[in-house]
Amino acid sequence: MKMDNFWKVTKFTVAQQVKGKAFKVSTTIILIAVLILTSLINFIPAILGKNDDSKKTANDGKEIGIETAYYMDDSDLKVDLEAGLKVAFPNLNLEKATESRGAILEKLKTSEDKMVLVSISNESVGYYVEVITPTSDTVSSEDGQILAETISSILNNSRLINAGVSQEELGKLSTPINTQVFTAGDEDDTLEDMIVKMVFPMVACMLLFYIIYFYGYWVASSIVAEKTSRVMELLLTSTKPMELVVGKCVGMGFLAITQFASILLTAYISFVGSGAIVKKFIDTSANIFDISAVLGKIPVLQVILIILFFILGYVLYAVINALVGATISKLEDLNTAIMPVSFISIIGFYLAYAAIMSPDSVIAKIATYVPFSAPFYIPSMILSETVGIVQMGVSLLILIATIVVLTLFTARVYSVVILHTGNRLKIKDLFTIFGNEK
Amino acid sequence: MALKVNNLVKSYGDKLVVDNLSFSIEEPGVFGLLGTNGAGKTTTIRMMLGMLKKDNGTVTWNESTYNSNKVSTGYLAEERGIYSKFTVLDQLIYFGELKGMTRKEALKSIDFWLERLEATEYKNKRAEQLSKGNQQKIQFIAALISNPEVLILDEPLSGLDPVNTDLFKEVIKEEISRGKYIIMSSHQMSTIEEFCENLVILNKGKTVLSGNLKDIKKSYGRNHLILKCDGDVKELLENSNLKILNENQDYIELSVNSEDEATSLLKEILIRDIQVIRFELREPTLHEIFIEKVGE
Repeated sequence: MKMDNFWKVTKFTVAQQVKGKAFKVSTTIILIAVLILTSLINFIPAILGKNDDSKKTANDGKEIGIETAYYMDDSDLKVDLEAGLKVAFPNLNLEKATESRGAILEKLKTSEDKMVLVSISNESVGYYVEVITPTSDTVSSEDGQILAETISSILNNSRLINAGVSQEELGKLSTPINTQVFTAGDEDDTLEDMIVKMVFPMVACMLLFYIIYFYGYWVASSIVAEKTSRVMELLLTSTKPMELVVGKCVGMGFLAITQFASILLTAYISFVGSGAIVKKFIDTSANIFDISAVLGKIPVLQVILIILFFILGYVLYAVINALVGATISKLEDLNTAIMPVSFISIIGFYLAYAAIMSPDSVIAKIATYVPFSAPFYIPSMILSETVGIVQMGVSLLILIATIVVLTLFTARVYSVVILHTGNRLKIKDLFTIFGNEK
Repeated sequence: MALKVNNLVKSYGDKLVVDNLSFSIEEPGVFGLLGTNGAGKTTTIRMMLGMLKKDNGTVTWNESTYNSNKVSTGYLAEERGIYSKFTVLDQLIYFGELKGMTRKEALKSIDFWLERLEATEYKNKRAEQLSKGNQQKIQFIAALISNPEVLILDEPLSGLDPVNTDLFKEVIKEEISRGKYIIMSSHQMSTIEEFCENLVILNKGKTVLSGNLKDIKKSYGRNHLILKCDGDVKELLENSNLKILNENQDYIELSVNSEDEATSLLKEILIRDIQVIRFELREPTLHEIFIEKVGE
């Protein structure tokens, strides 16, 4: 194989594919989608968090959608509710009910004011705090709930103080108790670790599937186009079939890696950019997704190994697609011919998916060593650091051996059937042709 | 320099497609490769170019194995190949670079040939926007771009209008004058007669005739008689047992075994006092030889 010609084919493949509408449109759509989706990861929690904060701050003395609260305290708690609520809701007007409960309830049925009735009672099963809002929607049930919970909290604190608990002890008791469940071995995992181990493998798996599917299709369709347009005959006067097929696969692979890198770069820029926007314009205290911290969790060696599996995975499927392309001579046969390859890649993808979900299962072992699923699965194992060197080495060897065998077979097919025209050749036909060639 | 094809054999299964074909092109000029459809012409060309594996035989250029990757070769295939979606310039640069040219050399050559074939205006157009004839010009340029020593032209003039046919013919003549070795395959016998000094005729893979065209014609002799008389000669012709090849309003064409036979016929006509308007003895045309050799 002449390297010079191989590079010329690669260069031409890249140049023409980049100029094509399909590449431009798909790249633009993907990058816009990545930009939107990744920025939403920062925007949505920040916006929702801000809403939550506004309710929370209402408890701390800012706003609540209630102007007047009439209260009836039939309990034995004897709490200075007014003082407590004044701190929580400075604008709330708390008045002791002078009318009967029934009269106030009647008033609430027709009132358009932002008023509520608060009733504190002592039942046999415990204390009750009721907040009754008007029939009209002037006061939301959420605001009513906030008021009820705040009163409940004031009453509880009052009970504790009455029982002899000091203000200092009360402050300690108010500290929330957080709970979390870990699997043994993962006890030190942070959110970034979880993203690296769970989210990245899934995203990587899907990206590889996309690249294999689309770029593989482009390799096959490019070969078929050269056969149908009869350019192949002209090309073969100055190049060898292997230079053409390898040049095409490498050219498409180069584009795939470029597109893959541009997706990652866009995601990175989007995370950083959206994070900065959130901090500046939405909420300075918002928790943003720290992509740098997440990427920092992945060692360089792991990145290299993942890229290696990605490239080998692409090459494996690209060679199969090139083989399929060589066996047909009509563009309309391409979709039918490529279907078995699509099935293999889908099975490989789902095997890897199932293996990621249950890494100790038999499926995981199959996905590790079967060359059609290994490129999807091994990167996730590398990221979660659950793959042994021997295991990965064996998987890598099987994958490389499969690629070599398939490439040699494709080269043989190419040299024999590249100028074939007419109906699609099946495996049986290929061996018949091989027989005739001997 | 000489391009030699020796004992070339190719079969697909039990079917022998090219049977022990040999010919050589000793001097620059055009060599005719003729045959009916399926006679094995394209298979021969593909074997020569290394696209197809030979079952047997050799192809040599200057006593060394001929290889289109090593010996600069331009090929205009019968089934025209062009990237319909790519611009003329992009694909011609690519073809030139694959032939070992630098981009600069390719651009220079493209400009020259586009101008020579009156196609400069299509330089930046996509091939699909061009007419069939103009696409053929681009394909012809792809064959000529690297100034090849060997040119293989499979049906170079088919589908061209008379103006472009003449343009292509001029270019082919220029290439001959530049000392190119050209193999031309065509069903247009007049084109072959116009350009070829030597030829081979194939029928079902077998060589039925080969050699120098003038010698071949000479070997047949002047055995075609064209006769036009101002009187009825039909009875005379029927009695003479001469074969009438063609009869129309203007003349009668006869096959004669020798010039003496034609002279005897002329004497008989004159004895009968019939005025002779046209009496022409000629060699058979290539078309007639082809028909005779490969049948209808």
